[in-house]
Amino acid sequence: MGYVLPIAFRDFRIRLSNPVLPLWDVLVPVVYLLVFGSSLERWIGTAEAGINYQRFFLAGVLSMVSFGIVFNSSYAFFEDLQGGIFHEMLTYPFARWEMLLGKLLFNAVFSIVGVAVCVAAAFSLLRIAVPPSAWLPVALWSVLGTAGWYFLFTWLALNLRGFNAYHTTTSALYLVLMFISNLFYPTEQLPVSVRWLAWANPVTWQTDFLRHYIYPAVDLPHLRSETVAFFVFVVITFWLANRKLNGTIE
Amino acid sequence: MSEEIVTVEQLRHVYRKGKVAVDGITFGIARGEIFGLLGPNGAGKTTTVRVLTTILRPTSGRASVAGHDVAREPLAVRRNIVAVLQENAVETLLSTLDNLSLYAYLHGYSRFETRKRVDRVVQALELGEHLYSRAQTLSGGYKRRLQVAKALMIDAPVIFLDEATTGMDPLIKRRVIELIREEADRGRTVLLTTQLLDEAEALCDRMVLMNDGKVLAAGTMAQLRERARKAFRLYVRFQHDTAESAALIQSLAARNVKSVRGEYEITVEGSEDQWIREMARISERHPLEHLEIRAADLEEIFFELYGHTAAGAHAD
Repeated sequence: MGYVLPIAFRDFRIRLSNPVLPLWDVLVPVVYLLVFGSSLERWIGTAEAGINYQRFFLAGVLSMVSFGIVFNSSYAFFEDLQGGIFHEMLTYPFARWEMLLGKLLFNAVFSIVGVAVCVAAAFSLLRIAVPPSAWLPVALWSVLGTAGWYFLFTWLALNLRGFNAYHTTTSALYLVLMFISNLFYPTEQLPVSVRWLAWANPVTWQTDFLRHYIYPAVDLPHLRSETVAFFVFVVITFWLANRKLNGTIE
Repeated sequence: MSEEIVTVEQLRHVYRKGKVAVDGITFGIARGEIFGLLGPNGAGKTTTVRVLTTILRPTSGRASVAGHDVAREPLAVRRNIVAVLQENAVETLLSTLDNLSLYAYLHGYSRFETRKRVDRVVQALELGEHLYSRAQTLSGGYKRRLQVAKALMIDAPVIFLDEATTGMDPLIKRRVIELIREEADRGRTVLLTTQLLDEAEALCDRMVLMNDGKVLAAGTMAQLRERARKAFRLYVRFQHDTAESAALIQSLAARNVKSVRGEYEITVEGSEDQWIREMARISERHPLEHLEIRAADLEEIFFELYGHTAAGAHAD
């Protein structure tokens, strides 16, 4: 475990060498919340129907934070691969799982910062308060979410070695994961043909847990099984990424 | 031979697309030895280094470093090695100083120890000039110097250098060669691949010549010379160099003839006796001022073993 901090420090130094990129990762979800959430609520008048869309959407935005940070930072794999530093790191005196956890640590801390900024923006600009009792579960779940997505994208990046193939695959995946989920709307509002896909989508499981703490009024009948499923998802993606890193990376 | 710190037995590596990069090679490296891997492009040298540094897994056969199997105990292997790979693996967005410091942290050194080691290699490899410049602005040769500096900071018993001096200016290259020699004198083992035959000749205690993933020849420089003993060089200077004497030299059944400031450098095959007799015959009509016979150097050995020009036989 002794190498996890230096590995996280390395990623911290690299990512912050261009502060615009991390700032972008944090600001995009806030902009979604403020512009998209507010506009949609005004247009469809959910407040009059007794639904606070912005509060509903906040859980989705918090999922988006960890998902987005990981999505963007996964491109750093290709810079490392092309620059040769990735293969050099494979010769360093630490286990591959330490490498994974070190890189995750940076992204996890960063996602907590992103979540805190979103929660602060929701409170100060939209008067949506996340109760203090929810802070810890929300933070922990954001870390777990970041872990699951980070391991998945690492595994994908290492399998799809070509940048174009990776970009195409993850862009398609981004659309499916974000829009065929409960991130923007309840899954019941999706066309029947894709509803099953939304139920099987880990973004849905991650968001439902957060929504349970942020907007308890929403009925979440599958919360317990979704929570277990998300844990399983994180374990499986960790196993896949670690196995790939321990195998041959040509 | 003293205790082997690197052992390779029938090692084979086949890439995903079916290319056999390393095909059943066997060799051993003794502790404190400087060992060279040489061969033309695609010979399998870099793949061998990648297997020994645990980046790639062997398809079959076995290899161990410091007593640890590369496939079964990769982490234990990595705790005993430091590697300069073929790519210019530097953190392009960080400065030279940050690159060095980060490398030391990632090898488990404290801040105090890191500072000490950074100061030492900065001085030894004259890195002070661009210490605060981002690595992306550095020349290829300087990045390579930075790579070697990183490896020399770490106390691992085995150092892998994959074409470490490529692109360096001659003075720095000489300094790097001296430093590598000093590390070996301290008991560290060095495995290097190089495309520079003079470098291999100057540095390596023993070497392996590879081609198509196989070991073509292995041994000390003297043993390799023995394998290629048919090839040697004659250095000839006439008392009066004329068109006739020049034509006579050109008519010899030599592999190569070069003329520099009135002296002929003739690469020949066969026995020394045969060529001494031939030179005596020539000397009867065109008296010689100087005749010298030199044993094959690595270039001739390459020529002999690969059966084509040394220029084309340089490494990966």
